[in-house]
Amino acid sequence: MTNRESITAGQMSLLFFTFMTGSSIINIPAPLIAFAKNDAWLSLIISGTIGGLLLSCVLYLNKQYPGLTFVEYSRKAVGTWITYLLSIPFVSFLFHMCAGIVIDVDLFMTSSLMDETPMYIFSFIVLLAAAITAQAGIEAMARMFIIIITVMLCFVVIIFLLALPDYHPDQLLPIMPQGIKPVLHGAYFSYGFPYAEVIVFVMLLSFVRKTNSKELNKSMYMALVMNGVILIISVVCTIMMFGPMAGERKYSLYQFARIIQAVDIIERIESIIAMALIAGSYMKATITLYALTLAMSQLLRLRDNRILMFPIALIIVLLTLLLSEGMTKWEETVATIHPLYVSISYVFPVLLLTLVTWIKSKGKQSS
Amino acid sequence: MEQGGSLGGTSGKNSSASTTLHNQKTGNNGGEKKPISKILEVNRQQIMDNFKDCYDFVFLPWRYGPELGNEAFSVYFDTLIEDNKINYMKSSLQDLVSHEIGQGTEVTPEIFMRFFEKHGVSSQTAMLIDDFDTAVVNLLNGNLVIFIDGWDKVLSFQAIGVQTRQITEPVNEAVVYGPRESSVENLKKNIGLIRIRIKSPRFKLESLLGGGESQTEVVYGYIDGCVNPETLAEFKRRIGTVKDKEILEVAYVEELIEDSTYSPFPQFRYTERPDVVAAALIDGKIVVLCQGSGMMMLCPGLFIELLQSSEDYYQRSIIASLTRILRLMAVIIALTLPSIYIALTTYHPELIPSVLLLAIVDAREGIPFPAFFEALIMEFFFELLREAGVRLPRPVGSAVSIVGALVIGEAAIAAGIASPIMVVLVALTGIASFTVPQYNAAIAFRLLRFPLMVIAALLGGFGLLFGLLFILLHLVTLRSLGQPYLAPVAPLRPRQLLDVLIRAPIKHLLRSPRNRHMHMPVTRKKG
Amino acid sequence: MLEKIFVLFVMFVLILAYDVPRLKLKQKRERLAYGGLMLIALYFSVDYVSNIDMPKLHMVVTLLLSDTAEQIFGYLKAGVS
Repeated sequence: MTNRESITAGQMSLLFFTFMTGSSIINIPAPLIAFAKNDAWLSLIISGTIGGLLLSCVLYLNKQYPGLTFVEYSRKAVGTWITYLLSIPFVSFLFHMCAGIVIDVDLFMTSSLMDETPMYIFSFIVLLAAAITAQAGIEAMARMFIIIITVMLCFVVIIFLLALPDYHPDQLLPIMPQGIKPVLHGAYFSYGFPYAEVIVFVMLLSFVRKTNSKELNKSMYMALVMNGVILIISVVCTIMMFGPMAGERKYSLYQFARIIQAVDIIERIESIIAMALIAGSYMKATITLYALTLAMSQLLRLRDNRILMFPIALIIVLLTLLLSEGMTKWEETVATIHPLYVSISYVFPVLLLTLVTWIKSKGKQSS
Repeated sequence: MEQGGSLGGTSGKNSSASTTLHNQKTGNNGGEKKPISKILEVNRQQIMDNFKDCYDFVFLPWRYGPELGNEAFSVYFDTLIEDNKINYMKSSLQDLVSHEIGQGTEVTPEIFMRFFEKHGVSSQTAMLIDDFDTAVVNLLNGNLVIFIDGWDKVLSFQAIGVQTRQITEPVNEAVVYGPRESSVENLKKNIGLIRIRIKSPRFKLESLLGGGESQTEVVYGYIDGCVNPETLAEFKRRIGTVKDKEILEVAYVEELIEDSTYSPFPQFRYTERPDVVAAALIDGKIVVLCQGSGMMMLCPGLFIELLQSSEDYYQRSIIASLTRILRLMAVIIALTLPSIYIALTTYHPELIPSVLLLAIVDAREGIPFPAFFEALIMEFFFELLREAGVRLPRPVGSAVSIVGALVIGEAAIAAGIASPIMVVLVALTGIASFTVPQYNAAIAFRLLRFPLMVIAALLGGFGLLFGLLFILLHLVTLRSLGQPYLAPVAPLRPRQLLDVLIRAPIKHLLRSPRNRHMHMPVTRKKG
Repeated sequence: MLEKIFVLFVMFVLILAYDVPRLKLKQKRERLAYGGLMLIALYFSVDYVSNIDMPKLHMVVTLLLSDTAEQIFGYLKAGVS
């Protein structure tokens, strides 16, 4: 790959953090609490750990094949045909995932803020912005997102702090009143979204500058931990505020912001938090789009890995319109099918490659 | 216009002057030197042909020597020369020969020539020229040129006396504390003002000649050791394009060498103040000056610097930091206030505190236009007023400003075209945009207000969010002379952040070079 | 329905306007890939505009997986009262 850009390990971890937190903060708490009730935070710990394991596979592969993306080293490890085979679900889920992110934005906007606007406007604008940003390259993305994510997190933290008087910590108890199954259910769900999506970074880690590769592992784990912490805090605060009933209403953080009343002036500030959250989803969509275009370009052995960005974005726009015919149907799909879908598309190929690589390296060692 | 040895740093030899003339259109093929003939009449004919129909061109024949038998003539431009220098050389030559050689000796031109060529001339800036085109250029630069019969060289010396403005207070960059010297239109004086502040032999100045009919001298300077060598190389590569263009102002140079012509954001900074230039040079920037222009250009210019003023460094650290934060808020207001108003009143009224909301609804009652058009009209009026205010001739000035204030303020409200809240907003936006120290950056923010208003009217907060995201994206990809425009915020360089939002005390800032973000890898301009 | 067609048309035109000058400089492989993706986009547009449920990839997935998914889901939910 000539003319490759490179970013530092810190920037890569930031992108990772943005990716994991971006759309999760708004979409995760409600369904999770619906499944796991008060113990939602336990589920997050479990699925976060699984995420950490997956991350370690990703980092291991990155170390074994420095400078190569997933598609490239998979070709080396298991050959072209198996790569193609593995890539079909991989790429298709990338499409699905990106469409999912935008669908979440669409549904959010049409259900709460601007319900008269047709959905395609939101899909179009978000994906247009994502495509243009991704075209600018990963360096530009890293630079932009640091500003946006800082602002976004500030808002989120302010919201949590402002709600301090309304918390009921007793809602957190009792722990596991119904056994472990709800916790597992929640873990299953949050593994599907967002923790298995760690795998997307197999395509992107190769962009880190060579000089920083040692720090990379540390910073990536840190980013994952930070993400886990933020999600757990947000879930815990939601439970403390609404109790187990939080699961009944979607978009917990938004509901949060609606209720806050402080200093007489700051009330009903949900629009601000809504914008912050949309920005988060936009960032995640941009990263996903970039990874997707890169994967497709490498699979088709194209020399220019940016030219396909706009058609792919267009397809995703159409997918968002087609897949989201009904909000409840979509939620059901996400809850039930996604964890399986993601296991086949993301987890399985990576695990396979990790295994193959490990065996090969053992083989080299012994010979 | 000055030439030769009086400028520190520029090469003072004649040969450089003549070699840079090769691209000129004096009717000569590049590279050939048209010699000066020994026959006075031939020279006279050539000169008169060249400067036919120039009424301010003066041809003064005179004689010298025993019995005034030898001929010579002086030529000069009456409008360029200082009056008392006209007879300067002539009278001294006429006296000289009879005194030097002695009474009664035969004086020939040969003796004359030997004197000049061997002894040199004691007059300050005299030169010997042996080709015709250089002589013409010297004439155009305000020199007095003397042709002597029988000699194939001519004497030329400086006599320029064109008036320039005195050094006064800066017009556009007033400060409360701090030096009040501003640059004028004379290149030599401007460079002098800078060089007196940077007493270092490492402060290098290089000159280039523009082309075409104006042949303006463009000078750029930097401090060797402070400037990033890659930036300098990139700058030199780009400034080569200046050579055959007619440069009338530094702004022409800016457009020729900037990274992105279509961006609303300026990539270089302008200043009138030598103290700002000196500080910038120490920071590793390159200054560009141009004969006949009072503005000095600093490259590269980053976004953060557009919001900084030299006064920040002359005031107390805390005050300066707070002022900077105030300016940042002013920028945000100037950019987004109308759009926020439109978005809130049209799409998100619940965000406005109820008391204020009632006031707004009350004020907007009876206004025929929706918020967007109201805002658009008022902003448009404001821009008209601002532009008219700049072009006003002074006698008319006060009348128009009274009318403007009355019309836009009171009458519009009374007529029901605009609500008082809107007028307040527009005024606030205008004032906020004037706090930006750099004029061309303020224009960028004012300009971007309008698309943001449109997109906020269409899609409310969502649209505003994405409008701002697009602007941010543009800023992130913009480069100034290869340096990332948003450094040191993005890419993040924590050590330089001391000078960005806050102004850390001087003892932290003086670890030189101050802004090390200059020393970063450069990306070439595309295409 | 008309507005859907119009919006999609605008999107296609914008994208093509931006990319066609760039495509001219690229090679056959890129053009083929681009064309292929635009065809897929066209296929989906027709699906969207005309409200017919045309076969899509995720349907395959849904079919294959939904049974297993339901089972797991049921198992996990069974513990809840």
